[in-house]
Amino acid sequence: MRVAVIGAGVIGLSSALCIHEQFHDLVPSLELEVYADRFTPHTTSDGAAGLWQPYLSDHGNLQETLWNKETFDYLLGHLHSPAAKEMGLFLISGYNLFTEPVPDPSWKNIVLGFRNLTPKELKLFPGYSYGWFNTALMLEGRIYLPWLTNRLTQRGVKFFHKKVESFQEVSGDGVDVVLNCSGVRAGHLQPDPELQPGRGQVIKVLAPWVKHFIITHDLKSRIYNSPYVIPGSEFTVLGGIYQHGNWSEENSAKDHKSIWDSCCQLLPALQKAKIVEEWSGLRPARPSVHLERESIRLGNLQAEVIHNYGHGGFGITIHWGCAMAAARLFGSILQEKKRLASPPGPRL
Amino acid sequence: MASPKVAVVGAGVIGLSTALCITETCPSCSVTVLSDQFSPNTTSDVAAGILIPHTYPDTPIHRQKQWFKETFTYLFAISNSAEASEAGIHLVSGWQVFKSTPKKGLPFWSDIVLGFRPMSKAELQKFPEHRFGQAFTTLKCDNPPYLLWLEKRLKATGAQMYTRKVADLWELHSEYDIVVNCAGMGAQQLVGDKQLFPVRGQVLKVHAPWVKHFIRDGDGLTYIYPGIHRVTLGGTREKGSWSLSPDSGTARDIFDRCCSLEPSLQGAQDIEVKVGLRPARQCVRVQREVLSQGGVKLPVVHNYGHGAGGFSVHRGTANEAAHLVGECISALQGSSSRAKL
Repeated sequence: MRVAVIGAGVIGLSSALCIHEQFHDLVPSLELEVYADRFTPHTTSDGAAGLWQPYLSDHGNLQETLWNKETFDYLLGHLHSPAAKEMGLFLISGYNLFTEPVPDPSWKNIVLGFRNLTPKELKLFPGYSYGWFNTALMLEGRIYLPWLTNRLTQRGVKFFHKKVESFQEVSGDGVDVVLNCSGVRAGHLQPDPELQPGRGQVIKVLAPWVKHFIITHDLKSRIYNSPYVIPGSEFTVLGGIYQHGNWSEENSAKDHKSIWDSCCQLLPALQKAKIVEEWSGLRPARPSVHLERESIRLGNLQAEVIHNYGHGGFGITIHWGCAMAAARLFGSILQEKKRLASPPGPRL
Repeated sequence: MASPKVAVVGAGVIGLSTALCITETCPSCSVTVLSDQFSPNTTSDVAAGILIPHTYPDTPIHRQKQWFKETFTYLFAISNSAEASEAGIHLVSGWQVFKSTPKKGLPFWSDIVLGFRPMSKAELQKFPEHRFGQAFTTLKCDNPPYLLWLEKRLKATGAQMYTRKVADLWELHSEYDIVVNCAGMGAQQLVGDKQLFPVRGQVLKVHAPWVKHFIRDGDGLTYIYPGIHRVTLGGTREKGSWSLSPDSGTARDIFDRCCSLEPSLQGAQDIEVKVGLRPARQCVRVQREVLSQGGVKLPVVHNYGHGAGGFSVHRGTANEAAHLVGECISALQGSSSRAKL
């Protein structure tokens, strides 16, 4: 049984690992292949700071809230394991800031120690009159992706550096299932007008005295169009850009200035921080995550495709819940093909 | 007295901050810091510098609270300025956890630190051996950066600093009008204070930049304090021990205790072992005294005996000591004008 995974960001690699972990023993002939034009450290996931935090509102999308929770609980369970450091996983606390009171988010009981900010704490952030404090998790893409790659390589999963132009390209030749984790460029494989780039730009600095994340919100604007500061294990990420529909992956001087000025105003101590890197990436934005099965007719063959893309700016936050859901879809495909249910016995 | 000459003995956090306060409250004073050790070789350099007060049994609580409040307010302003990284001051959040629920209610400083509250059940799951905990956000002074920043601020005022071992305060009476004794553990010999005793502390300073929270066991013996570049793991409280030599068995024990609080520390690198002698006393001695010898008087202000809580109250005691120096100056001016009659 051959499975082709398109995409090697956090979604592609984690879905592949989840499927292999769950089904390899049950389906000894299971062969996974990952196809991607970009691998770590050049994927969208590598540029993300890696903070587990969903958007403020789930827009009634309870399924996504459940996937977020599943991911948080899964990661929390690994926090004390020896693998945590190699996964790039650690606890982090911090602030969400607003200029007016807002309802509590859907994830308030998922994170740890969620509470409102006290007046003294708000003094730290002139211009903001309301906010939250909570403890969440960091999962740094540039460490997690190599870890996932190692786990997959150990399991015999093969990697192919290739720009896949169509499902047909990978689905011929005995490939039974295609896992479409192609992120922002999924529209090239199959048109999806709901999928749009949410362009972001970040500045990576050396500021090891910053121990908290700080995310500001401008309710009139979109999420992540307001300054944020997220300290990683080595660098601190400064950001605050979200441009819907902008496909440019070039760093913009205007965006740089906007990020730098607004973050230094938020945290004056950053003025002395050394800039190490600048990066732009395209969040695969969609009104909801596209996670479903589809049977695609390609010539006289039928291919099963599992779509798993469109995670916007919360890919890391939701990845494991989606990987498990993709694995369930895979399981149902196996059942239909009677691969799981076939009893052992003599072959005729 | 046009330009009183003040000598400050000691260049740890107490000596440097007291000297700085004196330059602020008495701009006409000429201030000189004398010490046999300067950063990075002071006791203060070994300390993590976290702002979690130590309770002195014989100092009134309201006074300790005032000292802590002044220190916290002072450092809070620096942490929020462009100077924060140079001064080594940063906010840090974390947890104080207890194996058994503490009997006394809230600590006296709970309304001075930020966001103080009991930990939730979910948060306590991270600490299976502990039954109760408090979460809050406080400040940390990284050393040597903070001490070097104090030295820089002092130099900018024109204050002088000299490496010199002062064996007796009377050595200074001909050159200086007032002596401020911030000698820490050195005060035992310098002024013969038998109430002062060392409490040996051994720590490890490690590279573990993914540790973003402090964790402290309520017993005060095991703690993890992340600084700018290093995480301080502690510790010991060995009363009466004068040994400055690191002990490898103790180092192993500290590491194990900290790893059981924070398992990810197993991956810590570049482990450095350090030892300091906390200058412990039942109460911090912030006091004026006039020494007398053969008709000669020497005004002295004492500011020592901060034990495990030096960083937490340093600015408050420095302010008080500087105020006492002001009183000494007034007394000297009073007596000199009387002498003129």
